[in-house]
Amino acid sequence: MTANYWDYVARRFGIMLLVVFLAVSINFALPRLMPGDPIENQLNQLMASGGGAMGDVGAMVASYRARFGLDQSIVTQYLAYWQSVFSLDLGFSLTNYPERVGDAILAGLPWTLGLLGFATLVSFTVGTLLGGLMGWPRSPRLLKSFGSGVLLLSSVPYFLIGMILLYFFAVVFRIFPAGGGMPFGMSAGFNLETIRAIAWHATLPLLSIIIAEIGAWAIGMRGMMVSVLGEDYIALADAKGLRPRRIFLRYGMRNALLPQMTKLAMALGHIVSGAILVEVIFSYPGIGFRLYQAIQSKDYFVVQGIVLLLSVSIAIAMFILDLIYPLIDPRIAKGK
Amino acid sequence: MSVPVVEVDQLVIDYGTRGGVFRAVDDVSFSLNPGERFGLVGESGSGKSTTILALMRMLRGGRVSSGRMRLNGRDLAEVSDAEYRSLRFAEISLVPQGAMSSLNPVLRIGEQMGDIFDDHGVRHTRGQRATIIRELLTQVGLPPEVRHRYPHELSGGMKQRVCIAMGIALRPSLILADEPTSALDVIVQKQVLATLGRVQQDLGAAVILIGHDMALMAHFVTRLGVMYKGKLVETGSVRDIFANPQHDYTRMLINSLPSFDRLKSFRSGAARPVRPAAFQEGV
Repeated sequence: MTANYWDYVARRFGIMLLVVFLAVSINFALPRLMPGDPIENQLNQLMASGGGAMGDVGAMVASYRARFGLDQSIVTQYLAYWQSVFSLDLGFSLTNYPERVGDAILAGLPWTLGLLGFATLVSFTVGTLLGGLMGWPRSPRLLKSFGSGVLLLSSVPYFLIGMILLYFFAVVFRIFPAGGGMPFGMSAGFNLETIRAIAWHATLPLLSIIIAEIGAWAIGMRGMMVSVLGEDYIALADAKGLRPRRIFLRYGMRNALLPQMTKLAMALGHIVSGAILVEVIFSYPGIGFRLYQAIQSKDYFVVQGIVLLLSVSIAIAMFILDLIYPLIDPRIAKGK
Repeated sequence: MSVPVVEVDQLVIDYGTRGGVFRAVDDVSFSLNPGERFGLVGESGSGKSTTILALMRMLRGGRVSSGRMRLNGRDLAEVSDAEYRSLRFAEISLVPQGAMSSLNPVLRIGEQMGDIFDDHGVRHTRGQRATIIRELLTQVGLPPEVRHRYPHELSGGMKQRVCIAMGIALRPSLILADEPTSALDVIVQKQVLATLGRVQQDLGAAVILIGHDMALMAHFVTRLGVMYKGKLVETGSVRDIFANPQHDYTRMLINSLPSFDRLKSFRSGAARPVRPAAFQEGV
């Protein structure tokens, strides 16, 4: 049993390494396959905005190429890229030149992780429980009709909910701030005031994600619950004279939860990329907002860095899920 | 004469369907004495499973339109739903048909068995609980370590034995066995039935065994009831029914059994019957 488990862990770890390898390679290849030259683009843009007095563009392009190592053979570049990945040196931002990509990511990451981590966990917990109860015949009718209302909301895209919330609670009623992560000019410190300010600013973005996501979790869970309740082991649990509460939790929820856990791991892997549109709507200083800006300004290295972070974190999240999955579904580690 | 364990008196069960009322069980009466083995045979849809589910109050969509059911002299119609829950497995237990899928895949065998005690208010220390579960598993011919296993690690026959062990955990006076062996192969069928018979005797519980295999039935029960289209068309001792079947349907069931006398007619035909060695050794 345990040998079996470690065998399984090793296999899953191998798969994770493979995914990371592919992600890094694709991430390396993709920008180089794209039409256009980022350096020339950048310089052209600079010239257009800064007037013509830039001197020899060709020489500048060449020196920039050398600076970023783009003049070397593709194999050398590839190896150098791996080296920089391992040393976590992701290069410089093209638009905000002296800024390092790593620093840009680190500046946005806590905001995004906090916002989406919290929103994902809350909507998962509430949505799953709600869905489970909606699929349970003994639930009160009131709860079921409330649930149907929530399901209706889930068909509205979250950025639309965000805009509606923004309009009512920040523009019309001015209860919550309209954007940003914390008040302008406020210096962050680990004190109650900072936490309150951050929570204040995060309320509307959080709500718009949670409202939109709960329904999705609930729909999946309700469907699973209904099909699990049709299983023979539920009928036998009933025949055994078990309490409804135990049948619901240990026989129903435990089994219906399995696919939800996969979805949760996927969702947690994705939180790094941020809910781009929500962050843009609320100008929330997270990774998603940063990615949006970088794409707009063709800041390739930042885009590359964020995409890399995203793919690696999804791979790691899936690996962690694989590690805990046998604990919730004992059939998995058998390697069937 | 002691009080019958179970008395079913003119039981009628209807299912409301779109096309009108469907009468699944029509005026069925029978009773069992303590320790008695009674068999209900009949084709699919003849109402035998419905009768059993009514005894468990687990009908889905159907309702008891008239008739009475008594358990150890107590009128079951007067038992509330909450009380009925505590009656299940404590006084009537069920050995299910689909043993392959009747165990919760995410709980260890010992946990699933333990749940029965927990929800019927039986308190044990950890050690006591482990001992009791080990004993139950031994009783049905399983190694006691099975309590640490998950259902997917067991064979079909082992799972059915686990179901039997659960069925006797609270020492009920009536065990309902709904085609408990239909998912198993012939040899395992006989072993599992033998196990059921043994624990039933130890317990002194009455058994209602449901099935459509007349031969298997004849080995196990003393009295037989034949159901056809919702009606109990014939009841009697196994010997009487086989010697002198009254109803056409019963005659047909008995005639459909393979017999050595009629092997000739098989041989003359195109198909040759296969005689597995296991059959020659008997039960």
